[in-house]
Amino acid sequence: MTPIELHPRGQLSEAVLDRLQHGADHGPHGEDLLRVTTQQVAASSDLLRDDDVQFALFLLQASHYGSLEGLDPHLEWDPLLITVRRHIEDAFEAQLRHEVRVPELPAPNSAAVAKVLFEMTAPEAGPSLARYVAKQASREQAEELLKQRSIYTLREADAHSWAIPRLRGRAKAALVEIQSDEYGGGRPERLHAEIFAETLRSAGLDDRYGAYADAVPAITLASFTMMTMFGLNRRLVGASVGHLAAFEMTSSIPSRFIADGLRRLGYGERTTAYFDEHVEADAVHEQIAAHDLAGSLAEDRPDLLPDIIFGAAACLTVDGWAGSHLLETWERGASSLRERVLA
Amino acid sequence: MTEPHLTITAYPDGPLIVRGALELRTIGGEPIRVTRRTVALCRCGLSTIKPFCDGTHKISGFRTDDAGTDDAGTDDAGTDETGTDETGTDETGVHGRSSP
Repeated sequence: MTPIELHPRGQLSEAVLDRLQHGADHGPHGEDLLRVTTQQVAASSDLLRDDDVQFALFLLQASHYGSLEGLDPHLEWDPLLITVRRHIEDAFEAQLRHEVRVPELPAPNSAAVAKVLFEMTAPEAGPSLARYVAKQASREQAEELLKQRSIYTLREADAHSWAIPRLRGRAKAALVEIQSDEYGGGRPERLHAEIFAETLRSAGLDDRYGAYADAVPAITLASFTMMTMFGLNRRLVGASVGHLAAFEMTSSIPSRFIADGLRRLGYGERTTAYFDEHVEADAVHEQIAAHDLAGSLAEDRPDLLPDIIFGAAACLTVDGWAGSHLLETWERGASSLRERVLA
Repeated sequence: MTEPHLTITAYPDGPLIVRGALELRTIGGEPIRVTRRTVALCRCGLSTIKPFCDGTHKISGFRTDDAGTDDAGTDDAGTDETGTDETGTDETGVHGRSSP
């Protein structure tokens, strides 16, 4: 099989990829890389939809996950690359804090926090990506959805696992209860990421991580780089918890729609199993996440309450934008994937 | 382990969450396959994957009387008898959603 090729999307991702793949002696040195970083970030009017910046951040975070082949593990803690990642993440976070609308904060008790989270994530009746897939998506569009989802789902749950050592007591136990189920409860074949890999294979798609990294647009990467940023930075542990809660609380019903859509298109159980599994799994996880994880954390660490709600709102906002991108491109008969621009 | 073998927690406006060694059966005594350590059992009666919860209660507006007195996580012994009788709810609203 040919190795996965990754193509830079601009000056910054080119410099970052070069250094991660070929070592510290390659690509622009110190001051030059920092200058490119500040220039590209400053020049961007929208970091969430900036292909060069998002791809650079995706690569820098992949170095911590160990998810992409060919990135030098010795550079995981390279001070220069850490500085670059922090610069991008600080600007990214600032944009999110500016654009994401957060509801009035509830009282810092479990019942009030769970109530607000359920209100924020209440199912809406209008058009949605999942309903479109259920009723009218073509086979080609279903494949696009699976490719778009592969960025997160082949690493499902990992982004929030960074939060485990940063929590204590009830919230930690609740997060581990959820993550244990995500990771198959001791059975490798039940790992959600593995169930999704089987979905990809059964649909004739590539199940290797990063196979579709070149194909997805910045907003899809942003959904993933945001949750990774929340997980990787200890100061954002509240946002990571809120993000997971909102994520789990908006998964069960849409998963049913998507499974129905795949069945309508003639896909078999190997393809639908991942989504069928999430109908049941996330109906469990959402209760634990709202009450035992986010609710308990707000009681035990009231100082984190604003970030818990911010993380939940950021999840809903950014994943909403990513979903709208698919829906809007499909509705005008276009592809949601990038046309590969080869130099 | 000196913990109870099984706990059932009644989550406000939601399912019964069961933790522990569990054997689920049909009325005919056939085992119902349980694939996870923590399961959610449908309490609103509208799930499409009964006896498990599928989140449909959120669409139907299912309410339990204990909403707002959430002690989940600290009071998970006991049964679902504390004011969570299903007779108080009906199916109004469920057909408002767009699934077939």
